[in-house]
Formats: sequence, structure tokens, C-alpha cells
Amino acid sequence: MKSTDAHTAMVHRLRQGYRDRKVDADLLRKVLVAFIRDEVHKVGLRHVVLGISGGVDSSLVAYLAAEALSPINVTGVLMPYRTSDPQSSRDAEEVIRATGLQSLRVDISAQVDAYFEHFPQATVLQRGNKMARERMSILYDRSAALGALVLGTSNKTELFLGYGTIYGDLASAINPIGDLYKTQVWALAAAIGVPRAIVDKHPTADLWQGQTDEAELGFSYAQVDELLHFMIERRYRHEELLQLGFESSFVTRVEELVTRSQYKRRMPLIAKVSGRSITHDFRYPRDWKR
Amino acid sequence: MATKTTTAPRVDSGPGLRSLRLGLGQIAPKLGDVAANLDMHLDMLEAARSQSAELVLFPELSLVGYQLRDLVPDVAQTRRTPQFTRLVQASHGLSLGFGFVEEAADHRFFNSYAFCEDGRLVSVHRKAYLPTYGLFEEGRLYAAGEHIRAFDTKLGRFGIVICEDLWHPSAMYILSQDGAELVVAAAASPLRGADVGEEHSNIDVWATALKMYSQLFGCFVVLVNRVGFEDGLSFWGGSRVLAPGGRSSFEAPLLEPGLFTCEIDWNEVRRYRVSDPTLRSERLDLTLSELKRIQRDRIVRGPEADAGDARKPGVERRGGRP
Repeated sequence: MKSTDAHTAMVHRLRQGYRDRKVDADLLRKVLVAFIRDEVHKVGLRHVVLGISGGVDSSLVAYLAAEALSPINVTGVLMPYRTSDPQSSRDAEEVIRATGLQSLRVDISAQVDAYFEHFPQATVLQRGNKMARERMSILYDRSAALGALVLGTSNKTELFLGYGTIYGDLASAINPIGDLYKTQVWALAAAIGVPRAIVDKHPTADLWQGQTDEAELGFSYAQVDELLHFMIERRYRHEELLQLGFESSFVTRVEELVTRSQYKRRMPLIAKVSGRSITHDFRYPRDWKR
Repeated sequence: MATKTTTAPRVDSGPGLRSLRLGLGQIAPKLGDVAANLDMHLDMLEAARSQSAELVLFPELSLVGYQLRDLVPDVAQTRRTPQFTRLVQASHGLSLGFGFVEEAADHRFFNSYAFCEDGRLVSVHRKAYLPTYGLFEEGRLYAAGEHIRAFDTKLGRFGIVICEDLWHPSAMYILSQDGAELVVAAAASPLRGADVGEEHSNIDVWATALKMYSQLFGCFVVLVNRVGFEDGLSFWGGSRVLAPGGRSSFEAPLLEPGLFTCEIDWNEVRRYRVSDPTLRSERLDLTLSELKRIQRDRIVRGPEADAGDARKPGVERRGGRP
């Protein structure tokens, strides 16, 4: 181990190096636009459908999709619940207007409330998950009606933390931003012209009034993205993360969140009993002959 | 087909310029669809011919796509498979390189690259280094090639490496010592690195390696990399030609499919080697004897050598002594 001063300087340099990073917005934009166009066209379709919440993730995907397929081929669906923040709807409308997407508004209050009349004791979490899955079922219904693929809008941070509803907002056919951390989504969204007010506002799932992601998670996206960068991208081990100056309880909590949510990032387990089983050893690419 | 190791009569490298028109087929193959890809190759060959290209190169596994997994046996070709022979025959009047899955007589599969000219097969390189880490799983799919050899063509002496081969300097060193004046680096390289100047951005890493090899070995290095998407992987294209000495001679755009043509002056090899004669002073005997010593020592020392405490004081290390 080096002297304390040298050690401190090294830690400072490493963390400063992370903070000085800048997304290659031009390259990312080209890649993600081409990705959407390629994956949609090669399955023989021209249209996509996605939920527009007024948040930065779905806004960024809306901009990318409009550029990839032209706005006429992109349908943005607004799906408010009666307690949703009216500002979310206003921001969503602004994205629709700015991108020129086709749009559709389906209020989900009636279908969600009808269900919970049977279960009045349901928790906030149950209600939030139900809303996410109602929205998913609407997007998939519209995708069949329109001959469209459903675009995913989950970012890499929430995918790692499991901060999403399985078969709800995590469900999609293709996801252009699933390999971008939230801070990278912010940077790319700003670079391609998503309205500043949307990029700058506090992220929220808007499942109940006053909810914000960062208050619910107990840490900021800036903090957790830096930790995930060293933990996941750079493969620093637990002890090394502590030496970089991350709080022990923070590291442990994030490690638990990542581990515990692994099931959300995988297909259902299939009990293997044959010689050749789906997911185990029937290993064909999805873009088979595409 | 066995690679020739004898030195055939070289093309006259008399004084003056000797231009060579090169066509880089930066394509997005259809995954697992040989018939569609064969048509794509034939169409592009015709376009290249109409632009007077003398050498047309396609990327790694260009006839089949990259992320094949269980499709490997379905798309494999022997050297008598009609689609394979059809493409070889289509090289009449020019030189052609393309990638395919090769099935050997004993039913091992190889990630191979064929070089043909004037309708006949000149040489096949079987990928020697199969990446099996991170997103790569080639070690599950293919047998590793057992040869790295330069060969004579009507244009000059060539070598072929396929993607990961290039990350083993020994492969490039062997080709250099075997006389290669132009090395074809056929690739299917997926994009990694979302940040500007990111140290793991593989575009920058490739650019550095290609430049370094063309400087150190005084040869042309031609990267032909594919584009398109497979199961979320994005292949970045950016095919390029480095002239002897590391000068960038041509660069195709990132991500865009197309046939990209350029001219090179073959006599740059000679000019560079005259002014920078490191090849002359390279000592194959020294390299070989030291490599043999290292190999011998590994066998003699056995697993104790790298068991984790080998570098502690008091643990004797053999070798390295006069």
C-alpha cells in the first residue's frame, strides 16, 4: 500500500476521471437511431408504440424513434391515472408536440379502480405495479392494432436496481436506452434537444402524489451511477469500493438491490428435463434470419 | 487447401507508382441466411467490378452473420458447398476475400476467411484465437485454427487475421516474418464505449493497434469491419487502410453500410522499408530461442510456477539466467 497522500491523490484522480466523462452524444444518437430503425424494419414492421410519461426516459426514446422512423410511424400513448401529477401530462404533451408523434390518451383510472374495488386493502406498491401493468397491456394491445413494436424506456440504472415493475414498465420488444445510466440519459437528452424543463425535473414514477425516485431510493442518481460505474463497468470489488470512499452501508445496499432484482432481468426459469431445452441449450439468436 | 509457403515469383515492383484499387464491402449480413448473403456479396462484387476494383474484401463471417450460436452447423460450408464455390468462381478477374463458417471433413467448425482470385481458391485462414469472454462465446462454437501463414497472390504477399487474432501480436509478428506486405484484418467488432475518449472504447483501441502494426511491420493493414445489428449488438464498421508507417490511407464511415473504394500505392511498402529497415535487423533466431526457453521452463516448473506464491522471496525462479 502506498503512502496516505499518494492513496488520497489516486482516489481523487479516479473519481474525478469518472466525473469528467462526457457521453459521445453524436455517436450514441447515430447508433440508437439506427438500432430502432434496423430492429423494427427487419421484423417487417414500420411502426412503434411507446408510453409517454413526461419524464426524461420516455422523452428521449420518443425523440430517437421520431428520428429513426419519422413521427408518422411513432405512436406515443399518454396513460394518466387520476392521481397523476398534471405537470406530467403537460410535459408529455410538449414532447408529442415537439416531436410531431401520433398520440393517444387512455386514462387508466377506471380500469385500475374497478380492479381494486375487490381488494380495497391493497398497498401503494400493489397499486403502483397494477398501474404499470395496465399501461403495459394497453401498449401491447395498441401494438397489435397498429402493427407496431413496443419500445422500452427503462434505463440501465433502474434495470440494475430493480426499480421497475416486471411485466409492467420493464416489458418491451426492444429498448434503445437500456444500456445508458440515468446520468447518461440526462446528458444525451439534453444534447438532442429534449426540453430543458423535462431534463432538469426530479425523476418520478408518479405512482402516488409527491413520489420522487431519489427520495424513495434514498440516494441520488448521480451517487448511484458513480458507484455502479466502478462496481459494474470497472469491476471494483467491495473492499476497493470502500477505499474509493463510498459509504459501506451504501455499497451494501446497492449490492443487495442488484442481486435481489436479478430475476427481473431474466426470462422465467424453465425446469430442464429434456436433452434440449428452451433457455438452456436451445440457443438461437433472436434476430434469426433477420 | 494448404497454404503455400514457397515464394512464388513476385509481381514486378519496379520504380514508380503501382496503384491498386481496393473495394471494402462494409456490409450487414443477414444472420444465418446464406442465400441472402450470397446475393449481397455477388451484387457488391459486380458494383466493385464496375468501379475497376482489383481487390474486394468482406468482413469476418460475411456469408453467415456473427452471433450464430446454434446456427453454426446449419450455415457451415465445406469447400464443395455450391454457395461457397459459386462465390469463389465469382472472383474472376479480381481478388476477393470473404468470411464463412467452414466445416472440416471431421465435422469440426471453423471461423474461416477465404481468399480467392480469378475464380480459384488461393488460401483459407482459420481463426486461431477465439474470444470466449464477456459477450463472446466463440470457444463454444468453433475449433481454433492451427496455422498463421502468409501466402502469395497476384497482387503481392498477403496475410489474414480475423478479429481477435489481431489482439495477439504474435499473429502479426508471424505474418510479418513470413513476408506479408498487406495484412487483411477481417472483423465483426461490436461497439463498446458510450463516452468520448473512453479507455474501453474499442474504436480507439482498434485504431491504435492497426496504426502500430503498420508502423512496426512496414506493411499495409486493411481493416474490414461489418455494420448492422444482431440481438442488440451494434457493429461499428469504420473499415480502414493503414499504409506502411502508420499513415491513414483511407477510412470508411462508422455504422454505414456500403462499398467503399480507395487507391493504394503498393510501392509504399518498399519505400517505407528502405527508410525504416527494422525488418532487416529482426532476429528470428533470438526470438525463437528465447520463446523455446520460456516454453521449456513452463513445462519444467509446472503448476508451482504460477500458484500464487511463486514470486515470494526464497522461491526460486528458473530461467532468465545466462
